[in-house]
Amino acid sequence: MTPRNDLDICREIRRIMVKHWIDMGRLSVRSQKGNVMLYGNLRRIEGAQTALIPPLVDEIISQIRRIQGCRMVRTYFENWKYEDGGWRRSEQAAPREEQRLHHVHDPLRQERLFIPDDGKATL
Amino acid sequence: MKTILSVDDELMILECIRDALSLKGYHVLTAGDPREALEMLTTRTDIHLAILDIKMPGMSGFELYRAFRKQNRIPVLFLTAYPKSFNMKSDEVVSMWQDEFADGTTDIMYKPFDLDVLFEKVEGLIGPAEEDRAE
Repeated sequence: MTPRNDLDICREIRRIMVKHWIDMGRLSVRSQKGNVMLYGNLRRIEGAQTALIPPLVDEIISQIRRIQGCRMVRTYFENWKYEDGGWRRSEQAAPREEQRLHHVHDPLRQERLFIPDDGKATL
Repeated sequence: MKTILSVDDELMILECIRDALSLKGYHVLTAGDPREALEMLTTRTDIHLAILDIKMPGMSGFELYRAFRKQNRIPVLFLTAYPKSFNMKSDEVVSMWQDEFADGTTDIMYKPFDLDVLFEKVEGLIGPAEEDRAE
């Protein structure tokens, strides 16, 4: 299937999540004109043999970025933070102020951007 | 207008889902009995999405899913108050996960849920109620 619209993109994301045994009940996925937002808790389904590790989180995000039509991926995970060039587990919900800063994966620029509420992106 | 069938043995949940999604412009059918839902899902062709509770008396959401899935591959949103319903230690869940969920047409939502999450899940599965108007 070649994703053409937001519905196809969401479906592709769910396929990726299922492939990685991610508990979709704890995650919300949204795509608006190819701008993807992931909210909630990124964790594997109950009873999965192995836990999620940072390289796998990176791989999941990379696979989503490669979906045709996906322009950008924003993550608002409660249990993972992107810090110092890598993913770090964060079991506590991020403080409100911190949640406003979210990292963005821009497949065109192949860079991670941080976009605060004022919309000014900084590397 | 897109039609959604919500199946749950809890009347309050059915009413909540019906009222919330109706306000968003969806046409919502409800069934408190999974056998009645099975009849609808195997005979009607105007249902775009099924929201299935997992734990129901007589027939579980998983059983209902397997019963209509070969004839009707509409997207499905599973609803449960028990996250452990999706446990990889269960052969039934593993088999469904690998064989049925892999095409990306199913999603999961845990009770209690925020209406915003319900709207996101439904829109992510079938899009807005009035696709043409929204485009």
